[in-house]
Amino acid sequence: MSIHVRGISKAFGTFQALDNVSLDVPQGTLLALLGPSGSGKTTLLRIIAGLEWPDSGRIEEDGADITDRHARQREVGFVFQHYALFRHMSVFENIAFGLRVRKAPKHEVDTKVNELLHLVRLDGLGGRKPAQLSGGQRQRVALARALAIRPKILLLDEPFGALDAKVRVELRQWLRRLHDEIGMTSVFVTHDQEEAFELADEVVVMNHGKIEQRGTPDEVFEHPATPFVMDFLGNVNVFHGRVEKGQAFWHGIPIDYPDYPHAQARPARVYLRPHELDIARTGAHASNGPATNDPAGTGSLPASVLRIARSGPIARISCRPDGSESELHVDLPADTTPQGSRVSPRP
Amino acid sequence: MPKPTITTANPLTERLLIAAAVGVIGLLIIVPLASVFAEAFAEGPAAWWRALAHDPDTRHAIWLSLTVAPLAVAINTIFGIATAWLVSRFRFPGRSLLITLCDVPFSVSPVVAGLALVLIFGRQGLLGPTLASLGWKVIFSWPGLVLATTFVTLPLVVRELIPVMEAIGPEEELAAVSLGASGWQVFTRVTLPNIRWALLHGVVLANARAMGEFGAVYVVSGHIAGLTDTMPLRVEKLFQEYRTPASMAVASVLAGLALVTLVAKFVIERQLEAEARELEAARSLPDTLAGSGTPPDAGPPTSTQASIP
Repeated sequence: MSIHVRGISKAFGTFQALDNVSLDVPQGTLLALLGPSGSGKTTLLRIIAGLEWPDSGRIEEDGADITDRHARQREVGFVFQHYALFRHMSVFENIAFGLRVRKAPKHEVDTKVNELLHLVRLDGLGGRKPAQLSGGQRQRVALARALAIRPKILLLDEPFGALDAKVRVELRQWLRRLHDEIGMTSVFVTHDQEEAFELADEVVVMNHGKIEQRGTPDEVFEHPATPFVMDFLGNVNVFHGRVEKGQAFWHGIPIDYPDYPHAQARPARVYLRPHELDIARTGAHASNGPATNDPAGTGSLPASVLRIARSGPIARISCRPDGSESELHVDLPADTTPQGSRVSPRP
Repeated sequence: MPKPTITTANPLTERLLIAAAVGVIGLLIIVPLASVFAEAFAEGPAAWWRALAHDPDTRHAIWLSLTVAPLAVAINTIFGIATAWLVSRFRFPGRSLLITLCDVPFSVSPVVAGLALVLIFGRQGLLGPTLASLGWKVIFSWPGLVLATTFVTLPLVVRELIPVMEAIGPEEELAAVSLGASGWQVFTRVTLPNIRWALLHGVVLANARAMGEFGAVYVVSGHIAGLTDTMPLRVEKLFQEYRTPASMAVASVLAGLALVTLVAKFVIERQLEAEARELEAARSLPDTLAGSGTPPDAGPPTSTQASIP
């Protein structure tokens, strides 16, 4: 089922949440709506679900206008930010809810719910109450509940926002695989670019109720279309590296990454935030050795300074590691900013 | 867990305060209540029963109270749920004014409320001629009693529900809608189970207040024995007629009701606290649960055998 958003606007009082937004989501896509809070991404998701009404504009599914269709009839699976599980119902009844209100026969409900419990790996936990589950388990119940009604579209509002970092990474990978196997058109909202880039086929960056850019993660990352996107994404450095035995390797320099304890090496995108990097004080690198070999053994990387931007107490150093095409940003306290055109950034 | 104590207060102050509290409660609540029962049963349970059951006017008063109070409570339950829903789920101009207006019966003297009803529904009242032409009698009749009782108990249910519904939030209801539930299904399967204890709490309080209402009912009832006298009115009338034992017998029934209400209130409040804790737990998301044999989150599967559900 493809979704077409046509010129949607929505205001809450004087606050313009969405300003003439149009968006096509092709069948089978996993699309991320990425933006800061207040950018209108959740409002757009709720309008697609029918939980919020647009002031103007249309929503179409496979070409059929569904703008005036009640949320009840939209056949949309919605996973809420805090899951909104029915507190007084068991896990089983939560998942069964959509089938029960459709008056599905009992044996069909039982079969279906057990199938879904298995799918989300919660076999045997059907009798629990939501309060007796961990965050990751609740998230999966919410997902199973949304899938039970055989939705044509799956919408997820900050699906991993409330989880801790480890569970988040695992669930993310699992959701991606689930999407690939079910192939349902899915849209999720996030303010976390890492999440958007890792999970989505396409990323839509939103700001102030408008779409700033839309494209594949690589397109958006490598060619930011607007200053806002550049600034929003500029907060992170990304590299192709590998993970192995609890470490990620960035140009051959190991960085602790306990989420991947397996011995088998795997290619990975390495994200490094500018404040997580430092400039090595040594400054005594063997001149222009191959960058990936860390010749001095200092855990740092020789690089050329491109520019230094000071803002208040922080200075952002943009540099290019030797032998690399991409820029690297390092945030440092302004008073420790190195002099000269050669630096050695390190994690 | 040891209870925290204030160590700065000196023991003498503490004892004086306890003595004062016990003294006031004893003098104003326990002794008078006990004396009502003592007075009512002064001539033995048989006399007590005779006073209640063998006087047709008293019998009628009890029956009338048992009819009027539940009707008023039922009206307030419907009004309370609808208003709490409106106020907690929608933002509209005049919303705070509406909440404030719900409290008016708390601040208005019940006698004034009764008089206001007479001004509207009485024979010379605003709607009097219309009602008379339809043959409906409101003032000096049971509908007036229901109206007056409803008026004074109006805030009790809605006041209980608004904060609870605000705290729960609309998310579960929206989830139910997106899963295909109709409005009625959302209400009966999601909203009602979530607010049931708060609702019961409001109903119990409203019922206690309705049974005991005197002022507003006094004005609209006309005080006709065997016709429009409720239990509190009957107590007063018997007392004025120097039939103290009979008066105390009826009063003891009202006092007994108060004790039952007290117990019910205690039980319900414990449930409400448990629900509030549960809501808290549902909001916070533990990544592993301690105790109760819950295995830590095993994490999601490493591979999915997904069939299209």
